[in-house]
Amino acid sequence: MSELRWNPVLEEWVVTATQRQDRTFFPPPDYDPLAPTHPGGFPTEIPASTYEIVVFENKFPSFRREAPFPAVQGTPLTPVLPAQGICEVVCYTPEINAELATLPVEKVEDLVAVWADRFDELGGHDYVRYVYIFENKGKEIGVTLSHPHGQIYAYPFIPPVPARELEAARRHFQATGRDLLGDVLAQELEDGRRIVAQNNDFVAFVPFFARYPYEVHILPRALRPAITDFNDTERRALANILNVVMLKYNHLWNRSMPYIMLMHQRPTDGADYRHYRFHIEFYPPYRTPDKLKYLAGSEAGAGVFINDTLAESTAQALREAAPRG
Amino acid sequence: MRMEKKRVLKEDGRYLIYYHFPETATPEQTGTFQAIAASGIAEGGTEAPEPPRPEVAGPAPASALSRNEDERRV
Repeated sequence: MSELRWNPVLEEWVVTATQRQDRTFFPPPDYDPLAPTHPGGFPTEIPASTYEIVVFENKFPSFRREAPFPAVQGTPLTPVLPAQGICEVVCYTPEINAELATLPVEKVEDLVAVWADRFDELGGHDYVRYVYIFENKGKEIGVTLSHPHGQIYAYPFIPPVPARELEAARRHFQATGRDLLGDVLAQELEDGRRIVAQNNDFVAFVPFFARYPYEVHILPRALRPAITDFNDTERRALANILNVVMLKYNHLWNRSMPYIMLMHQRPTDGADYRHYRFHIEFYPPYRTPDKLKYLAGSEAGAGVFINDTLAESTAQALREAAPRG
Repeated sequence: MRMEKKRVLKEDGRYLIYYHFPETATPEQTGTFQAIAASGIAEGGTEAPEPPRPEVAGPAPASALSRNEDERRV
């Protein structure tokens, strides 16, 4: 059963996807569903002896291309819709013990190209309004498979967080004629204390308004609304700075850092978003090497994040972690 | 950068896309990619017909409401 239920109190859609209760949960290594299929072995999701990057539809999707009609009836107050959309899984290494941070930069560059291809193709469906590319890493985040992988959700609506960003960006552009995230980036570069890494085309920083202790945002120096707008040089630079940020995370406490990595970019509904800037956000769940940052009463109930650290301090720690420079 | 892809259909109807990058692939990966038979689907196309578009127009579900009422009448 899968459907969209409207919450009129918060004015947002909730996806009910009960089939996900039965999804694969930390299978033993010999039954890794994201590994290549070896002759005579367990048939995985990928029926080939090896692969570079594969993308496939999630076996336990929240959204489906051909969504069933809802199992419940809506009301005028709480309408219900089919959960039509697409959920993809992105596997970028056949090795269960690898991770994005340890891949050669050239392989990350290949992955950037795949992300762009998926954005272009999924965004071309007339029922898709927003293509959301993300990766959940680590059991602390709630992953249910050890094999590293990313995901893509092609939503039939613009999700609330990007919608808030888009509206803020629209108002800022109307008031100033400039893009909001471009001004945020300029302020960060001028201040300098929260910069984590940079190259010719991208800057990584802990934002002044960070909600998580080691939150990092990666912004392009040029105004690019979507990942498909980058040229080859920019794609290579994006791969490079992703590699640097993820290695810094791992070197910060000499452990593989869990995180949520997500991309915000323009919607695919055909409207004009030339004033909106693509960016990547990282949310590691730890505030110290052994203490998690929980979303508790203030965060979950009031939407007010309490950050126990100073962005200037965490940025400095990340800046000093290898690789430096 | 050169990128190639092949799309196959799984038995349950889900698609699976193999991406190949000749400049970074190992010989084994290249051989495996070349041996994959695509499902006879045009590159970049979709293997299933486009489903009807849901009337989801954003946060205000006015059109969703009419769709929902139509379904109830059925």
